[in-house]
Amino acid sequence: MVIAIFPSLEGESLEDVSIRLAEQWKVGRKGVDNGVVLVVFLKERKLRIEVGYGLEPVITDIVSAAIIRDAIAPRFREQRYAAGLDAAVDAVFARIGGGASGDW
Amino acid sequence: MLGRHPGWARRVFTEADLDAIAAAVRDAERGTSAEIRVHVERRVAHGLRRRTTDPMERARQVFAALAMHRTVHRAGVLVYLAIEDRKLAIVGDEGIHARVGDDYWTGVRDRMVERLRAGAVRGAVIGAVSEVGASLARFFPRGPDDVDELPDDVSLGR
Repeated sequence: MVIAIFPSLEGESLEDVSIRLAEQWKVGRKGVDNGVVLVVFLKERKLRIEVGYGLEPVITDIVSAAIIRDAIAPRFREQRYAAGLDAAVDAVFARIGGGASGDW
Repeated sequence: MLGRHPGWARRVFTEADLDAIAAAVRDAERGTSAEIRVHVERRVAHGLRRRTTDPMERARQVFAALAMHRTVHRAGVLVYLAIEDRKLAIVGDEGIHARVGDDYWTGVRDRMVERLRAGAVRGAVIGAVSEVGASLARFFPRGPDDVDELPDDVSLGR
């Protein structure tokens, strides 16, 4: 997962910039396209999550919107940017089923 | 052949162990359309980019990195071990998790821990793979058109 923070959109559209970034950086494993890009534009206070084809069934548009609304936005509003980004990463990985962990 | 594996891996697994685990994965998948993978690495955290020390968080990253969420039935299961940290995790995708639930994974983990504490790494992994394979076969039996979607060999990290 890549997080990119920009000062401003500089007049461009949010969708154009984030899709272009995701393509340019080739985020995700080669041939699998399982990357996630979170783009943040500070001046416009805009966020977008761009998801590679491979993760689309996991991180649907509805899930992306929920992650922005529930994990990121409330923390960003309090200017707790690092906490918001951490919560977003956790929320993305938490989408994968269940399990158990431990020590031996 | 052993030379291609890092030292920490050679201290835990012989080539025969790795082959036996791959064979167990193949056997377990024979009865199911789902996919099982085993990933073993030295430690949970690695360098500046991989900072988490939580085996579950790391296992989820590995799950995504191995593209395990792309199986047809969303029923991939990853068995994860960090050898030097003596930490493990089992992650099941949402398809199988919806069928078996939290207690199931805890049970698999406990039986693995027991064997690992007895020093039987190979036995612990093969036991978990076989056990998970049996559950997967029950909920996601193999159909005539099923293909092996992911490699069966042990994925070795660092």
